[in-house]
Amino acid sequence: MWKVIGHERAVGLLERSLNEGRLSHAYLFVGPRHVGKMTLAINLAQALNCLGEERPCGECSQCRRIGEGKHPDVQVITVQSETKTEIGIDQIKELQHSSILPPYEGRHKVFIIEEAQRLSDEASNRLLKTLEEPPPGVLIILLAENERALLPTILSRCQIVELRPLPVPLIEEELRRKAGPQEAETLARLSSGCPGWAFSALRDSRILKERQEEITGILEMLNAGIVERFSYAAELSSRFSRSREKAFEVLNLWLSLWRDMLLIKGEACEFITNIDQVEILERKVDGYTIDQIKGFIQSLKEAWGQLQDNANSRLVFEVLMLGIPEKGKAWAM
Amino acid sequence: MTSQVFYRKWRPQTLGEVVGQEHVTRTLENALLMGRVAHAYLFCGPRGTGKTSTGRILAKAVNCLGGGRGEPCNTCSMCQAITEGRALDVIEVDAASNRGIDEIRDLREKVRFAPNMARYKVYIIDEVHMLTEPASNALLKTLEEPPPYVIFILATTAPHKVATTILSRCQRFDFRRLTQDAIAGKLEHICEREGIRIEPEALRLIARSATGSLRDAENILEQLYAYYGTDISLPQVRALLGISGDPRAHEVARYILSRDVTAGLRTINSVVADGLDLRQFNRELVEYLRMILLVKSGSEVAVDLTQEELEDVKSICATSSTEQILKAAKLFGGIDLRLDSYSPLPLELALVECALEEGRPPPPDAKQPEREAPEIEPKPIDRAPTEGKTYPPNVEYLRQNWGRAVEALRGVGSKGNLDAFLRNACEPVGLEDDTIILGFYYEFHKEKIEDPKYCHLVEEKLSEVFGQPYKIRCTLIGKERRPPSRGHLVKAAMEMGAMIIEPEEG
Repeated sequence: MWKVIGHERAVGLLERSLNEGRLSHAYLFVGPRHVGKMTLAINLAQALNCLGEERPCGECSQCRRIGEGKHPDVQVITVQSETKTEIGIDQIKELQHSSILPPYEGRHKVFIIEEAQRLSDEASNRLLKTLEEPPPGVLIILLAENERALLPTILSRCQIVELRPLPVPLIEEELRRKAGPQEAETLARLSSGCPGWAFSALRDSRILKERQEEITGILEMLNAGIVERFSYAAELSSRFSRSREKAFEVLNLWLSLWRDMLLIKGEACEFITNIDQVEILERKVDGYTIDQIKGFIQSLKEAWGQLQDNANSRLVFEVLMLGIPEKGKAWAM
Repeated sequence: MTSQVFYRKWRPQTLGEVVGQEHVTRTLENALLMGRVAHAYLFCGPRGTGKTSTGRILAKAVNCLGGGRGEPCNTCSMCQAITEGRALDVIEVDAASNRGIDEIRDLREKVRFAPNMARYKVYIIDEVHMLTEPASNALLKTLEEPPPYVIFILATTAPHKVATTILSRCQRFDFRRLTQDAIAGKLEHICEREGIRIEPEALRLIARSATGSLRDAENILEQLYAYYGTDISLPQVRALLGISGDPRAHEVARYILSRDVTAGLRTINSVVADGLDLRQFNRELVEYLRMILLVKSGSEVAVDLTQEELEDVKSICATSSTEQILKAAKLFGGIDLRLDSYSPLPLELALVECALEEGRPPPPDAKQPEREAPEIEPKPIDRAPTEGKTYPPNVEYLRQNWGRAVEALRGVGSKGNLDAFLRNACEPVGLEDDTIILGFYYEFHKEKIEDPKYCHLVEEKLSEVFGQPYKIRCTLIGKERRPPSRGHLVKAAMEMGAMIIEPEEG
């Protein structure tokens, strides 16, 4: 039983390949965060090493240990520590060394490279020959959010399997098994097609709480005076220097809220993401022209790009805060 | 995982089997026939064009027990040993993994030993662009004058990263991207041998999407085979490649041009909800807009449409202006979905932009905060297309849109900062026929702009922004008329309690 939500196409492909003994030696799973790339990779590793009848059974010792991350023949390679930003050449060296050795207890060795877009240039190149012709019985699975961030020489050596965001109703259905209908609907919508997020939000209520706090902060800023905006920008920039990831998440939230406002203004409410905020947003939208909303989304995206390019974060956030359109500006002052 | 993937299983084993690189294979074959094999080759070219494969074939050809002239026989023990990768004298070095000087020193030591069984010792150094600089240099002398029994074959996808001193010591062969015919031919051969039935059209589609790399094409075929079995049809290939042919691309085009934001947003989002590939969707949308543009400009013959579709396109053309279509095509064509291909936001923004641009009221202007604004803002999404071009009838219009004109000058001028130069330097004060009179606050700015070199640039841009040719004349209106700075930073500072004591020059 494959424990993957949706992705029938990918699962079907892998299952057939497996049954017919035609599995490739290198796969690249591409898809947004939390869409289920790792789950699929672990499932594939289980299926390869499973002792049961219906592979992957999920119950035999092999499956269980792979699922728990304790299997010696299934290795996950990822960025080593918070401070590092790349998967280094040494990690690939270890992979190469380990790939030559026969499996310890399973049938196949599986290497899962998480966030393959973070492979350094040297590491990518070092991987090429191994990726093209690994020793027999070795499977390498790369996971990445975006294939464009990988070398074309890497891409051309892998079977590329794309995992697109899932339809919201499907996630909702899955969530219903563990949550009330209201909660299921909200979480499914908020996940924008990525079940991983929805389930972790279900498990850990802090995620939703944090999100709510952020949203409150953002919505306050829309009417806030210049002093508050500057202090918000300062806070955001200090968070940015602590963890870029977090700051980008906040920026993402800004974007998604403003996109919702655009949709509300464009009278396409049924597609908004932040369904739990819809009443507040509808109130907030009043007074903005669609032009202003569009303009501010563009500034948000610009800010995003500038931060990616290592601009001075504080300056970027301050300019962004000053650029929040003012309500009714088109009418009168 | 018992079987090998196609790109390994069907690796060419003779020079004749290498597809699409005749300029390389013929040269090598002649060299082999005449016994004039060089001691160092460099194969470069994009991924999946046959560099490593050719290297291995060459290693076999020189060592083949059947004579060592011309093609390898692939039957003798030596050929087979090399094919299986167990020949001691054909050493394949992964330069990306052994890129340091120590590894190259080691290689240099071993080069001195005579071959074990074969005639030649062949070093295939792959990914050679990853060698470090000291390592490249350590290799130079050996590469220039190796022992007589040694052949170096270097392969890389990035020849520009290889040291020039290495390049000049090798015979260089550039592998080209394969033509679609070549790829389709090779795929057909594989299909025949594997017992796969596939439509020729489908093969061509695979060949097209592989962009000249055989390995990419073989991978697509592999996936199709794994998923659909031995019978593969065109729609299945389309599905795998995410080519939808979805009619909603045409719908969205119609909504864009009729400025129906709501319907457009809904359609785009329903496409997202169905999990279609947005990149492909946008490509189809742009392609359709292009057709509309072609029909609108009267070149119906150039488009390949059925009668019905043509009628559709014509009906769209009847209600929209060329500028409008052009603008839509430009905006959607410029969307870059490569980095985030799951968010519909770029499409939505472009849609709104298209619906708004023409006949937009001047943006809320900080210059005239006291200005009485119209009481009712017409709902932008309901706005009908306005005919004719934007013709600035008076100075007031110019003044209101001056900011826009200055913005347009960004990146213009010798240092690309003409916009910054003009921003607080002048304002339009009059209009005589097609001459805009610019009032400058300072002599310095005026002189600079009067310089024909800059004058011309400004005129050009103004004409672009206001939609008709303009000349400019500069006058000096003095410092006292210079308005206080109204940048948003200044405004913000004033809100926080700052006061303007003295406006500073510059």
